[in-house]
Amino acid sequence: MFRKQRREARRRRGRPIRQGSLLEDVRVWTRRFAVVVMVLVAGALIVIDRVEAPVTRDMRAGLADLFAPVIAAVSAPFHAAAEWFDAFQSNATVRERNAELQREIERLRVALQQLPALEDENRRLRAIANAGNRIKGRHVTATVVADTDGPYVRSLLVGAGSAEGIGRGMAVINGDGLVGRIVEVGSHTSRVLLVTDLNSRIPVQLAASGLRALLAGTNGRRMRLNYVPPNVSVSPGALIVTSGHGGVLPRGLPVGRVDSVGRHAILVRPLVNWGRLTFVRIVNYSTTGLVQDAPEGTLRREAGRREAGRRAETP
Amino acid sequence: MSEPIQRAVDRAVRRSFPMATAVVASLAGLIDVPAAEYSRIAPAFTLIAVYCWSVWRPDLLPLSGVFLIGLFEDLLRGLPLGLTALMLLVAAGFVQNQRAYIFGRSNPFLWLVFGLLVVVWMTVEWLAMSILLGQILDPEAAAFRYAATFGLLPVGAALLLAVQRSGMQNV
Repeated sequence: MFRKQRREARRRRGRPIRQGSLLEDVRVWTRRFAVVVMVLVAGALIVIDRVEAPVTRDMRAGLADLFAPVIAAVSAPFHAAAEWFDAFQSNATVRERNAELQREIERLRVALQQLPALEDENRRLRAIANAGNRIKGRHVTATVVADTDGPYVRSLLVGAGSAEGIGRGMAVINGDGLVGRIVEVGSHTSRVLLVTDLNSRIPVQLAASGLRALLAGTNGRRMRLNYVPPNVSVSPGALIVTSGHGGVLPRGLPVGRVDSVGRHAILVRPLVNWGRLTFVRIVNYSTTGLVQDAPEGTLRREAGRREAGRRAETP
Repeated sequence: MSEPIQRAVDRAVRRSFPMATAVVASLAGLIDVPAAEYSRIAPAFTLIAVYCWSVWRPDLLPLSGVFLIGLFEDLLRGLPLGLTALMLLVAAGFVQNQRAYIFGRSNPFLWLVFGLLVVVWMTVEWLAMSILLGQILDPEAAAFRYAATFGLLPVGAALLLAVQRSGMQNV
């Protein structure tokens, strides 16, 4: 007891502990032991995380719930500045934009006149093909809370979670097209794996020809279109939409446009403007029930199995 | 509240500044800046904070605290859990061990050491992520991110130095 008090008094006075003393030795060895333990714990956590243990996913979701309001509050001035900048830009180019919008309105009016006829034709063709009606989904609008994007992981935190009916695997879209998929769900936040992430694999088709392929993220600005037969011609600018195969995403969501066609790779540029991503819509397309009913940790494995199956089917 | 308690609380708060600023730096990296490609090249603010405090006040930035900050960042950013914790731990441990050769030297020297640390960090992270994801990743985005981190050290250090001078004298 006396020794402890003396040590405490010495510490308060800021007097250094003698070099080579027993206390100093104990302190050094404790420190070294603690470092070794932390290194081992970090290694173990990396391994546990790789097998997608639900506990790490819950921890991530819980922490995101806790800090989302703070991050959102700090991000608010940046959003305000961006809006101000947009408004300033719009004022500067308002005449040009106005003319552009007038042309767009005219073009849409013409398209609108054709719409009833096209809808009717589509309904009749679908009836002949026995394809059924398009699946309709329930939408939840959410704000982008935090940008957890980085060079190796491309993801976002959005401000809607299980309390708002969000589930893993749901499609996340905005006005431009497909943004990504929900991979982690907290009470009031969810993590979105962007279509450009290296782990993202989306069954797609070319909108014009219906040719099926698999769109893979690269962590870069563009995605790679895989499993396209070599004798098929794909031209730059072609629209890529989701094919709906696999039952996770609905059919027909626009994803990107073919950017370049090389000898070894077809690269696709996403339609989403990442710099303007403030609001997203999370869509629950109740297609097969697979996503909602899947037990924890099985979604990615299930997707992997289906992907492997598709690879085998792809000519 | 009596004066000794007030003083003790005040001292405790001041002593927690390095950890608190490192946590703030970690959160700053998550701010959603609506600018194209910002997120991919956003500097590693946490590394700057941990480096500066490891040089100036290692007594107030324990390695266990650095480890927890790394875990916190891994959890929030969706990175492999434990990776940033391990890397921050090793980086802080290295700087604190070599502090005798770094502390008190000129600012360009501090910057140079940080540059070397950043290069090693970037290489190790790229290697680790390539192994974990099972393919060789494009290091371009990481190179931009860490170039920005290196370039931002003087600004970050100036801010942290202001914190040190204003609130951490005699603690």
